[in-house]
Amino acid sequence: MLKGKPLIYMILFFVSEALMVGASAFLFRSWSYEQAQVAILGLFAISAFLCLLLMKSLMAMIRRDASAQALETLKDMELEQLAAMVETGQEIEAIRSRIRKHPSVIQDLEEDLPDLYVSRCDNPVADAILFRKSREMKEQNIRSHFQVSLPADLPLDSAILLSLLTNLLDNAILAALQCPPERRFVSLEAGLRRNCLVCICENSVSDNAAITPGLSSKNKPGHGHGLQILEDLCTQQGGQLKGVMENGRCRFTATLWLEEEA
Amino acid sequence: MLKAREDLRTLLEQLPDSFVQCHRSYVVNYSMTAAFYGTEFELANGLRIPVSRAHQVEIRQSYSRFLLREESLC
Repeated sequence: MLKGKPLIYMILFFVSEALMVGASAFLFRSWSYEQAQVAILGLFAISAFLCLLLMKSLMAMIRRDASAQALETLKDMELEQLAAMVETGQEIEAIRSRIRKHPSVIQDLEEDLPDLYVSRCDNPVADAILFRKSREMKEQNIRSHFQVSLPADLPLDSAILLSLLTNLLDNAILAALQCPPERRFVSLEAGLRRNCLVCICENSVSDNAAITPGLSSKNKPGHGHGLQILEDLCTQQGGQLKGVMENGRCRFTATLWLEEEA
Repeated sequence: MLKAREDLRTLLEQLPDSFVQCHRSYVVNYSMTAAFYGTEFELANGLRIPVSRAHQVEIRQSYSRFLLREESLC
């Protein structure tokens, strides 16, 4: 729904267009040919200028909406994480009391805890994503290993970080799901080297998988869902995305240069 | 920062791989850099070294390779 500046520009644009069309016959009749031509050219210039303003404001609106949507997703993830943390706290309390009564419970814990994601990263965006993805992987019988060290005040737009990590992990999960359950794994290593954000994502792949950037592998055995987005993200930040596939494993290395803080 | 009279190519041949020419008049030691901002390096001591346009693509790639060779990310 259009509102604010885009709506005003759109109305003005149509009014100027209508004026140009409506007034041209009248102008040619009542004014001299040259005068009418100049007046219509003037109206055309105004109309073109308004069209440009309309386009620019529409683009800005689309960008704002996309950013708001990304932040909304992030908010949902953080809320989900918060709820789960409260739940985990309660579960831990319950487990503690059970341990006190039954020492054999320790054995069950050893089986459960390695996959349980408890906050391991200072960066709240990365932490929320890892938490959600680790749960997804656990549900789909995928072994996961995360080694992520990112500061809370990482000088990178949250929407970019969100897009980078979710696309890397979603791509890895999709590829891992095409392997037999006992072979499924995804690992993510991410951290800063100087002012370069390096993310290395590794996962198991089926024998017939191939890296196909830009092509969705949703309905195919390929490995490339979201790769184009990832490549664009890295390039925008002056970095690059590299993928290698060998011995039933796929490894993507994404580098993004962080800008100087003002 | 060191100043030398020899030709940079001659000097580079004697230096380890971490030294790279980033400008007609500058050679930078990757090991001593703190950050890379596309058109310049920031050294660990805060000094800024320019990267010429002709070297920018090559430097970006070789510096990325250098950083990826470093030990663990965490």
